[in-house]
Amino acid sequence: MSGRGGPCGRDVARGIGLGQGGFTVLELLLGALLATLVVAAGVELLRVQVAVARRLQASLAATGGAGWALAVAARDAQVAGSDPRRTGVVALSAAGGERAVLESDRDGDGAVDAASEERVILAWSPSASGRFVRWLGSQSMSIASLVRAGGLRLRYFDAAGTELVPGAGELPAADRDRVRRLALELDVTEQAGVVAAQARLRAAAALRLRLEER
Amino acid sequence: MSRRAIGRGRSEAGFTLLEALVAIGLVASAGVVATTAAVAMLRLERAAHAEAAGLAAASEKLEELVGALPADRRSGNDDTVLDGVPVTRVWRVLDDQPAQGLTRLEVTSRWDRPQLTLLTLVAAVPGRSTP
Repeated sequence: MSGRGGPCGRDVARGIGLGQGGFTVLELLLGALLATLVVAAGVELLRVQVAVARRLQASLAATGGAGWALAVAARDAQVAGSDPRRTGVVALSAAGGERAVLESDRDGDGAVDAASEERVILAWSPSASGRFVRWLGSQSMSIASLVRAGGLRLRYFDAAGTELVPGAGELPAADRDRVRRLALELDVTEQAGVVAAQARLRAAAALRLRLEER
Repeated sequence: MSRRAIGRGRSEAGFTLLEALVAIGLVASAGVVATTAAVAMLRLERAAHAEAAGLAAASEKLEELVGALPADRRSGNDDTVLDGVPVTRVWRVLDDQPAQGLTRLEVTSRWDRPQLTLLTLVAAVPGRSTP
């Protein structure tokens, strides 16, 4: 009925040959469309993952950076006023809303060497979009960057917990002598690519050397 | 016989339902794994952020107690918000601990999100809160 040389047999043979040897244009187009959809989904998934990772990176860096900077600054304030020779070292030689100068006699020679780590300045600097800078003598280091104007706030409290407000300038010497606690607030912005994250932390430091005066 | 041959040809050129389901399952599994990983990372980030805020809040209160006059140190509690994290703080002032003439200060901060966490800081300072 369907001999090898007959028309029906040729059709079948051609049909089988085509099916085994390749794809029709329709099959190729459909396959390409499906592959494109799968690849697009994969790329989108990757894009979301990267966005999440960037956000996490920025957020953790902001929180970690602010926490570290506050810990460093708080430690400086805690040990300010060290005076083993009792020569009358002043713990706070300047106290403003965005700048504090802390002094101590670390080597016990009876004097404060302003060019060494015996003088620590904590201050906000407007350079490079705002930074929290720590000076050790004449050396300076940014301990937190992308700190906007007003992002660093230093507050001073006496032994009774009453705030001593510097006002527009700095605290007068009489008020600086009453300071027993320094409170710090820091607002840090961190960027990872186009993603930005902000962290606002607080810290406090009791001036340890003034506890013995009680 | 020729119909069977054509049927076989079609079967070999396309995918079976099982093959398609397995392929979809693999793609879906990859999506689920990626999403789960992202959610877990976000949760960890939130936990780390809350811990930093809780630690800062406890440390702040401890320094406040250390800096206060001995007679002004009192046990108490309060609620504060630090970097968007609500933190409850409880502090205790214990005279003559860990030794005579010293005061033990304990500050515990607690936050509920993403999970309930307690953190306690302890310090000892000279003096007594009561004469």
